[in-house]
Amino acid sequence: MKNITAIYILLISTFILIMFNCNPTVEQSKAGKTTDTNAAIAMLQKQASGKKAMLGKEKLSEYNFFVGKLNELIPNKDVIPYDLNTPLFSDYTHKKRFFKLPAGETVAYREKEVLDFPVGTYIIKNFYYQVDETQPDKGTRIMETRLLLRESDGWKTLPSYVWNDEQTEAYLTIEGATKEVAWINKAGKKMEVAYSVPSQVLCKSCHVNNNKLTPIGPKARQLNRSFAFEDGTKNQLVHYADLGLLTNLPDIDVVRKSPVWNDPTTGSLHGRALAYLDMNCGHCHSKGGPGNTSALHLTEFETNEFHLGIDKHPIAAGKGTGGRPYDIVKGNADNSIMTYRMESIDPSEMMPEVGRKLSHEEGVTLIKEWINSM
Amino acid sequence: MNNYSYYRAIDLLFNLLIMKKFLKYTGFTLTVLLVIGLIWWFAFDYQVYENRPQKPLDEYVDLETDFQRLFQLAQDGETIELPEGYFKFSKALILDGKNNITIKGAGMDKTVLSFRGQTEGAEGIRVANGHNITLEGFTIQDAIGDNIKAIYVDTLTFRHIKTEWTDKPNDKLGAYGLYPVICKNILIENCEALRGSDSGLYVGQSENIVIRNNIAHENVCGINIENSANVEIYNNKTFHNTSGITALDIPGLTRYMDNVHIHDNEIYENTLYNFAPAGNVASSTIPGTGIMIWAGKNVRINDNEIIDNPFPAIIYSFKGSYYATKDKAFVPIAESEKARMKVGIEEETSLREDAINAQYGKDKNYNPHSVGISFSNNKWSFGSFRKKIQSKDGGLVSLVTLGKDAHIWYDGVPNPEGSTFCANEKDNFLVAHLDVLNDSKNVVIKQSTEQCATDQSISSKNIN
Repeated sequence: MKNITAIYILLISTFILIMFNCNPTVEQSKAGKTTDTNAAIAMLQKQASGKKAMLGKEKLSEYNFFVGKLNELIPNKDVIPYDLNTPLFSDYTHKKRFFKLPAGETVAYREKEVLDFPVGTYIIKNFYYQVDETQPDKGTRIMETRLLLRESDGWKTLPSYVWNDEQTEAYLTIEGATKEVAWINKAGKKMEVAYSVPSQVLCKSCHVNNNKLTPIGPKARQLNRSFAFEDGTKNQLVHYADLGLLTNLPDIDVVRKSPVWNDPTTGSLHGRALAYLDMNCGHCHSKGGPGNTSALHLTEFETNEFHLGIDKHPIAAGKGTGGRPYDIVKGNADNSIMTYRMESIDPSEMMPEVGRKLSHEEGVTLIKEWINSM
Repeated sequence: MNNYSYYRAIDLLFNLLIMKKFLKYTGFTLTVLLVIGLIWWFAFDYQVYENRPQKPLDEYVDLETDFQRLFQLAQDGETIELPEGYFKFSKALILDGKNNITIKGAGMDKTVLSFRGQTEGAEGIRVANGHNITLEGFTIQDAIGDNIKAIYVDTLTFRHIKTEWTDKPNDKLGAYGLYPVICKNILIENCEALRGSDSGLYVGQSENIVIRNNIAHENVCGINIENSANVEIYNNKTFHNTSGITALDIPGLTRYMDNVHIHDNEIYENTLYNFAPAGNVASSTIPGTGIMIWAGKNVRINDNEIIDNPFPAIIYSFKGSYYATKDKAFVPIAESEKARMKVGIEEETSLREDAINAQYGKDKNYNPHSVGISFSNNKWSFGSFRKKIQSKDGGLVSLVTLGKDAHIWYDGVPNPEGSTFCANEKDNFLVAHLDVLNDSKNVVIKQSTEQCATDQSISSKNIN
């Protein structure tokens, strides 16, 4: 008993002493002196503005991709629409996607990779919000149109075309832009975000593999789905083959089909989770991708548990670990780094690192369900 | 008064509890006085780190769009000159797919790029997919993630760059000051790195690297080499970090460590508290570490001044590091394992073992042991007993090693290849075998007379 009292006294005295410990060992470094840098800055600005952007046409309308009112996005007859089974999440935008082949050229089928589009192909992706998702007739607000161009030495990202507030035209913007936008989602909830149009160079952060730019979406397994074309609903790949645009397409029944991430009739929980990760993470987290540094390979074809992140320590996650031990802790989504980084909206923690300001709640729910089912 | 003072308070209380037995036998008053005296002594020598000088953000010039344009539209072969002044940014500056580019500021502390309050991008400057890129002559501050990251770059030079976080050391600071990863032919010289919550100067999964004439201080790891080959680290000063220089080889990555030469560096007083976010390898680094080798492959360490670090050199195997630092690194493993297996403590040990083995078991080409580590002609000292207590961080190594000194501490996990390291140092060279697999019940410190220390030679001459 006496000892316990003694220990208490010691505890208290310790605290008192520590409280008084305010040792002022403050580091002082020379505060940088402000010098007149105006001349140098003017020089920099001149240098910057002198950079001529020989990167694309100034206005979207100049490409003649669309007919009629530009913001209705009605494709010209050589501009072909497509949709994906499981898309990349981009702050809840809807996307209207098209490709345009040079006259007389065809696309070759490829089993795993993005289809082999010919030189001169444009891929056109329009990002928009529905003003009210519960009432589609209330119209849309198009944020930006991104173009990918296939050149002889590979794909190239063009700077994004940012739509004006009147929705009559979109203008080439090299440095990106931030636009406040609000909408009502399917559940009737008011949503808003400072939508970020990426700079041209930021596009590469995702669209690069083995130092080559590449589209992410138009892979056979993603295109293998039906689409309501003008002349009726039809499987997209079959439709393209029927039009004579797609060559070497095998029997459609043997073509791999990615599950639709939020449609349980299209695949198992595991299949849908991997399809989601493949599309949202796999472009970086794969061999040859920028996320290869962490040994995390989040593709539909990955079977190695370690590379999927199960019991895998983070490599350079910094505070992105959220204090959690492994990328995936089996059966415990709330102790897994993967879900922490998907839920975070802090740029130093979140995954993907770019391309979103909001967390994709429904996607997180899917991945949590998947991890908890392990 | 900061969080770490509280941690220290708790830490000291823990010490007191250990002394319970002592109290019983030596009398109350004497002990109280002694303890109060000790606390006074320790507490008042404890280094307190404050924020570094910070200018208000409105004194920084906003030329973000111009900088973005310059980086983005740089033509191959171009030199981008950055003017003197203080500039602020909200998004990462990216140089991607460019060749033969030099980005040149007016000098360290003259051109200052601040990313305080950054809203987009996970690093301040990102260099990717390029050839022959030089960054020189500027200060970069307070990026939300890493200050400068470079990936897939061949021939990369950092020169006269200061990378810092200006807040006091804490786990919300960015991780890496300079962070080249999967690059080739890297030169880092005359740079200064401060307050990275993982590493000040880091190179990972790269080859052909020279790191020289740099200063790294107040980071968790001063200079940190991971899974890299052909590395020469010399004439650097690393001090006041949690650990001075570390070399790690981690399983499952794109390449392995080989051929690292660490010489003529000044590595001193690395006793800073560990402020790395939990979960990262750096968070298990023991304060007080001079050099840490972690499953290292062919590391030559000579002619360094390794001064006043309580643990001058630590050599781990992959497994040993987990056991040695289990209070830091094990807790999450144990917790997660328990959560998922719903088992009690008694089954934890085998689960730990499984968990650790699973970490490298799937990488068949990975060697989890340190091999080919050599020390020669270094100048050594341990630092004061006081420093050592202060560096105690709850880890097993620290607890069992209070009051014991050794130049090299190694985990003692049997190495099938025999020799873990060789030391060719002066007399009175002490090597500690930590016996971590056995909860460090039999820590052996011996004077190393052999050229090469193996498990056998250590345990046969127990002088402890």
